[in-house]
Amino acid sequence: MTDPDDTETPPGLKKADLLLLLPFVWQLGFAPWANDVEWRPVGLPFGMVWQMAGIVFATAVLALRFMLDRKLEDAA
Amino acid sequence: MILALILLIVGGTVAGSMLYGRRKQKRAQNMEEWALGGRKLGTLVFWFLNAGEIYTTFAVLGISGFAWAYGAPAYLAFCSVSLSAAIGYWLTPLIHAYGRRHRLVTQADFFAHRYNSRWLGVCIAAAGLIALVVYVQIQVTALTLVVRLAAPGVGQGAAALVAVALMLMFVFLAGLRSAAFAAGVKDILMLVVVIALAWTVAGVVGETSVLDLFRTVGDRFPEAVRFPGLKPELGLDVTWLVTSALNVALGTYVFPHMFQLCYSADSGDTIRRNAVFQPIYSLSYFFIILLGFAALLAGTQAPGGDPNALLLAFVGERYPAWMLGVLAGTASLLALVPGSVLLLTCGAIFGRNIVRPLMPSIDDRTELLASRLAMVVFAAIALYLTLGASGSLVEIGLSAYAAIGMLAPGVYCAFLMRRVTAGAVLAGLVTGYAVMWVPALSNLAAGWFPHWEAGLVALLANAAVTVGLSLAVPRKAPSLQPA
Repeated sequence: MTDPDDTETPPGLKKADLLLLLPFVWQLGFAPWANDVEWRPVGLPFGMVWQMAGIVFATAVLALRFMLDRKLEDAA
Repeated sequence: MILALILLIVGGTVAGSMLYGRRKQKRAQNMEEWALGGRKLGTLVFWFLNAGEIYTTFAVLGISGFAWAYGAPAYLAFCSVSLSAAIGYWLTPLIHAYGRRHRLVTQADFFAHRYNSRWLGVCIAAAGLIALVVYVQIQVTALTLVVRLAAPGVGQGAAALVAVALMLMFVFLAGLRSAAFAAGVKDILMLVVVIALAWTVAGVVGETSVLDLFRTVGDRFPEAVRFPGLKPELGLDVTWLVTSALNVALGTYVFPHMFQLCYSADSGDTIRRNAVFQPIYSLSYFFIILLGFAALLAGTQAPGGDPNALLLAFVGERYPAWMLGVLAGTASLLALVPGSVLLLTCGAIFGRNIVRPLMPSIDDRTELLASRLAMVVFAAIALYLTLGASGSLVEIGLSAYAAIGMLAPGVYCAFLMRRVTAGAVLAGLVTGYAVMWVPALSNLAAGWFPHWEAGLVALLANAAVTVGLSLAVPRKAPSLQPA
């Protein structure tokens, strides 16, 4: 181990990190609403379909963020 | 036949692991090579190691039983991976970069280094061990079920003892180097078993298709497919889902073995790419919940009403004996592989971050001996916890996340705030444990936050104290660290 560097600044958060909140909004923020929907698409419970769609949505958001990071790195 | 298949699967995997381990043995020369694979794991291997965390006894036996016993609360499984990945996308590259820059091996190293305090490292190591032992308890509980299935006459206590003995044998025979091989076997077998079961399950319970199966569950048990599920009196409502999912997401990469895994990737890019692809794998929880709901339709009764035993009971009742044998053998691997990795992590942390700082003059051989003895002791503690517990695997899992959540404020603050002291981190830790385990305080917390996951309430109290004290203490104040 090396000695800690007192001048090291914690990286903190960037504006792009706000994107990472979107999966929480979908899967948790909208969970109460999804639970009250009566409609059962192709027989599946809506609450469950909503969570599964949330997984696909989270993947899309993370992929978008990954591409943004790549672009920033290339620009730098 | 069931016993023979279990022995074949477990024995074959151990033999394969030992051969594989022997071939790789020459390569690992030091702690860094051994524990972190030389810090050069590429995307595919890293993904596999991470994905192995998804097919666990918690998920397969736990979630299927949870779906059968409580219904919708099992949807928690769908939130666990994607939300952990969203946090992990930000957090894990930072852990990776810090660990690489300062050549750290364990999580306690991180705390000792970042907060410049050796005693905090010791405390964090101890706190990490508490959570890891609860996690081992999950594996022992699951393995006990398989032992009782293979040897029906054996009592609960004796079966748990056999399970722990098997786990220790697996650790000493296979070791960490070959765990990657065993993990690969278990993942492939589990995938095959889950798909085979899910493919045929509709016919087995007299439905024409999987979609029909869900439709019938929705018609016959309308309360099962939505929160608060089949047992509303337990308070497993949407509030429980949101708070539990948050606690799992915050805690996933704070577990010492997951934290350590972040050090082992070859680049930050590998970790980020992994975070993108990880959630997709968790769509397969659909099949696990499907099996739980199928058992509900079939009217399967788990032995002793124990939801953890549900899947084995359902398959035993409705499928040929060989299928039960394959499932039971695979379930043993699901418990043995993570169990052995967890025990080895426990041993390494104990040797490196507790014995070594307290007795700096100790030689390497004694440290190794202490690590090995510690593994046996931790396995015994997990056995003791298993005998005293009666909860479902999901509940035990959530209590492991609650215990590890106590380290979360120290990890997140390390990357978000400049002025955090070791004393503030420890004060937060003690506050969190008090809120969780002192009955007067935990009852108060449960009253103020009804239906909340208790671990998240404790985590928030912990974070409030850590951040509050850090802001209150003037800059460059003398820390509590002994000279």
